[in-house]
Amino acid sequence: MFFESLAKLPQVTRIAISAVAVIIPTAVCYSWIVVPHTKYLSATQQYEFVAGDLARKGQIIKSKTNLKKRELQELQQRLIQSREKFFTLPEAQKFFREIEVVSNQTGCTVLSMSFLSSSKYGLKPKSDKETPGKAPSIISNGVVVNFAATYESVMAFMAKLQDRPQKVAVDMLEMTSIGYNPRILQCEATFTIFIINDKEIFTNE
Amino acid sequence: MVDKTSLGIDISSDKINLALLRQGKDGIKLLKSASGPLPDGAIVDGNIKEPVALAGAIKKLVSDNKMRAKKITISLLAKPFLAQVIDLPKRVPSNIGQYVHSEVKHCAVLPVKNLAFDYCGMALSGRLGNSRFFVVAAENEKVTLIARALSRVGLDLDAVEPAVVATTRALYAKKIAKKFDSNVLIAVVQNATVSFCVFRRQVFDFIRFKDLGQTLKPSGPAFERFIEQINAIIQFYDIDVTDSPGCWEIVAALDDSVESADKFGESLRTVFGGIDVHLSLPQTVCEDTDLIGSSKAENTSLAAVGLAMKMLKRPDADLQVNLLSQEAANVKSVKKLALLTANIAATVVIIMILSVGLLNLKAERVSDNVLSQQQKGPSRETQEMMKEQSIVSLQITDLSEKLQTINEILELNRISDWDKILEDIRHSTPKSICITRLLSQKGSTVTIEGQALSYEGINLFADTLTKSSYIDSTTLAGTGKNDVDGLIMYSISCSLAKETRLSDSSVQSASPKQKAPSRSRKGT
Repeated sequence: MFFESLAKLPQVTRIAISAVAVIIPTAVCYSWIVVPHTKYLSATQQYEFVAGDLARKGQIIKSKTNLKKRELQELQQRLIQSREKFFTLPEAQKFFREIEVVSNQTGCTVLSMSFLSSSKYGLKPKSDKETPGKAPSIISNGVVVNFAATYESVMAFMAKLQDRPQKVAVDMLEMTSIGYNPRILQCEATFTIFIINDKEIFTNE
Repeated sequence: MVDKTSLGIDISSDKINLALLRQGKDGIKLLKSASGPLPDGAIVDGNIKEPVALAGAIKKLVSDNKMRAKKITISLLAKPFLAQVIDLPKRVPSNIGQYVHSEVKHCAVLPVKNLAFDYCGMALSGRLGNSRFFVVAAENEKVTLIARALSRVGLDLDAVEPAVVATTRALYAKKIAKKFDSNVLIAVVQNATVSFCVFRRQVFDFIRFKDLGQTLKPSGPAFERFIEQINAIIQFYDIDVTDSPGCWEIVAALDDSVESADKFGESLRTVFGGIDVHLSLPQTVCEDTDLIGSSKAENTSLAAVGLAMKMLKRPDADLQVNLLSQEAANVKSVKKLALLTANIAATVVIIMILSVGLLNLKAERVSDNVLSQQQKGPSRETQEMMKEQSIVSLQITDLSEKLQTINEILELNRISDWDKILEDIRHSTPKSICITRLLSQKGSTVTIEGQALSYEGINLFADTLTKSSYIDSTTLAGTGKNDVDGLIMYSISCSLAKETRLSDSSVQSASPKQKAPSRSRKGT
């Protein structure tokens, strides 16, 4: 009956019906079946691109981070090395106590010693929670020593004082010959050392 | 364009006869023939009563014999039907179809409406003309009944025509063609019905149907009526047709219902002593037709062969009538269109399925790539890594600032090798030079004061001092002569080497010996 009903229609109508019967289901199937897969593929490709880009960026960030870590390690190493240049408070006390002993050992006669007031060197605190009453991280302490010695004794005295890992700075040195004994020199020297008040500044933890 | 294969379906009162022909280069070849019984009650009084059963039987016969043809023709199964020669008036009507239709409508045995009819022009004395037409008509419903039934079982008809027309077509090549000097009378016997056709000088000229009342036998009333009809036709031509050749041939196409066909032939020849009488039987189809390679032609219906021949290209009597309506014929094209549509739709579906498969495959590959990228890439999230990088950067900044401050502290005017500086000064001091005072402040300069015997000694002393790696340059700040003892007072200012000052205080220290300081002498 279906075919007979169609047979009664003009040929143009029959062709149109056939075309519609193909085109509409095709369009519907395409939009319901193919399009979702196409969109999924497109999304997957975009995700692949983004993931690839992210991976590349991740690699770059990783490389940069590794470089920075190495740089940090070097800095830490340098910081640790620089730590040796500083006295701790007990070491500083010991140093000042030993000045007279060292001078005697090197043939120098200490006439007088006067200690200078401390200078404070502020380091940027690791955290903002710095205690208001807490001493600064590095302080310098100086001592002015008047002594009498020969030129060689002065050399030995200087060598002995500075022969240590810590930094012993000679801020001022004056040697004057005494008229009655040209070999004996009247000397005045100002020694400055740097004391670490807070050892945590040499760590970066 | 002629289709290569054609199937003819002849349905008699008790049998279904099939003939499958194929047109080759050499001619028409009978591929297969078959016959089978009619379903009980399928045909009653020459009309189809059970079209579904009949179509099923035909389909089964076709399927059993594996017959496949592009064109199918079936014999007309409708009673009453009209097969008549119509003479046109002298004034030929402009619309011949309308004229023929109105003539057919006046046939008492046919319905006025719903009429299926077809006609074709008839040749006159070997020339085609439009003055006479051969018309066939029947009730349309009866024609389309079998067409629909067959269509439902997958057999789409191309033509429907009376069996007698098909029989004359089958016999045309051997019994009718080239008979220019005689009339050929074809008597087609189907049970009790006889169809008489006359071909005058090989042109169709006359048709008549006669119901003999009973099955034809070599003798008896039916035979006598048969002889009587033939004699009447011959007499009609001898008297009423002026240009009749006068010479006759009779061809009796008999079906299986005729008993003792040989005796029937003998009787005919006895009755018509001076006339050539030929019997065409199902067993002699190969002799009576122009089929080639007809070894399979035994017991093939002549009408079925003629029906199959209708859709093939061959010379015949030009009796081209087809009672199948255009709508019924359109069903086949509609089916073809539907098949084409279905094929296109199926192709589209397959393409879509393949596309979806390909898309999925591609998506899977992309997903695998993403997965492998994720596996190859950093395990942690990029955001965490950026955070870590930021933290490390902050730590670096913090450490750098600390180091900078520490370096600044350590680099402030500090000399760590005072013993060596003093040693160099002592070694540089000539014998004629006496140092009375040495002063250094802020670790950048050393001022040496003393007495000398001569200026040369002072200059030598200054020059020698510059050779020290701890002294950059020396400047003779001042000289003066003591009038009392004649000694020369001098003052030399030494600029200490910067590198030396920084050597120990800087973390990145350099050996003083490796960095030779520049020396210059200023003043005398």
